Amino acid sequence: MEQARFAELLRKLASNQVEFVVVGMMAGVLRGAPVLTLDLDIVHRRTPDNVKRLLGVLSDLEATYRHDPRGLRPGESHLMSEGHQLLSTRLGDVDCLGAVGHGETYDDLLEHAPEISLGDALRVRVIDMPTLIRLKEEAGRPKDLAALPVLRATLDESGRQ
Amino acid sequence: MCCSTGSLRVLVEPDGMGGSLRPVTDARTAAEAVPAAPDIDENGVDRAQIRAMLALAPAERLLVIQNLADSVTEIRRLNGTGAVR
Repeated sequence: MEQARFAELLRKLASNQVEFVVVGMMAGVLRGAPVLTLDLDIVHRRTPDNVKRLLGVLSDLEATYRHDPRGLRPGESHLMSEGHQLLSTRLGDVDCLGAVGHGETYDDLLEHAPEISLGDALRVRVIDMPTLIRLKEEAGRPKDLAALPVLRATLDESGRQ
Repeated sequence: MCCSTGSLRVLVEPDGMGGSLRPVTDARTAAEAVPAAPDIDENGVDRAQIRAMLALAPAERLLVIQNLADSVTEIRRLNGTGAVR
């Protein structure tokens, strides 16, 4: 596993006009949850142009499938699918998700993913906490359920501020 | 009659049946009875840590997670364990 460089990774995606929404626990962190994650989960827009831009970034970052010892690289057809591409790059692990939850796409998530500023003109779309909680509830795996108390408490605390 | 039992003051009133107990409701007692908002909630979640994280700007939160991830990577490197999945 390469040393993760989250800001650089996000900047690389944004500066290449890749349309994506940050989801998963990185979204939780950016929304204020004190949790640990070692990868970046994104839902990308699955249009041919955007997939080309994403593929360009992934190629530049030497992305390969994380659990495949053959070093396979993602292709256009993979990124156009609803599937989850679990990748390693030289800036850390990135999961490129075609859809999340019950088939929710980039366009479905847009209204629940306002932009946030990460400084130096870097702005990225990050799903809001209620949506993250709902997706974790729907996923229902033990690791998702284990995260829920902290995420719910974060939502509660942010409502008090 | 007023007496104290630890931190709770109670008023003992004769009722003809051996007396009864009811809490004293003056300001001092009420203030003592209401606990401060807990830092650890009923689910064991550290609310103080959440409040500290919420006080940061998103860019600063990104720095926090970057530092944590760097620490984990360093621990793995020192242990020679590599990625744990």
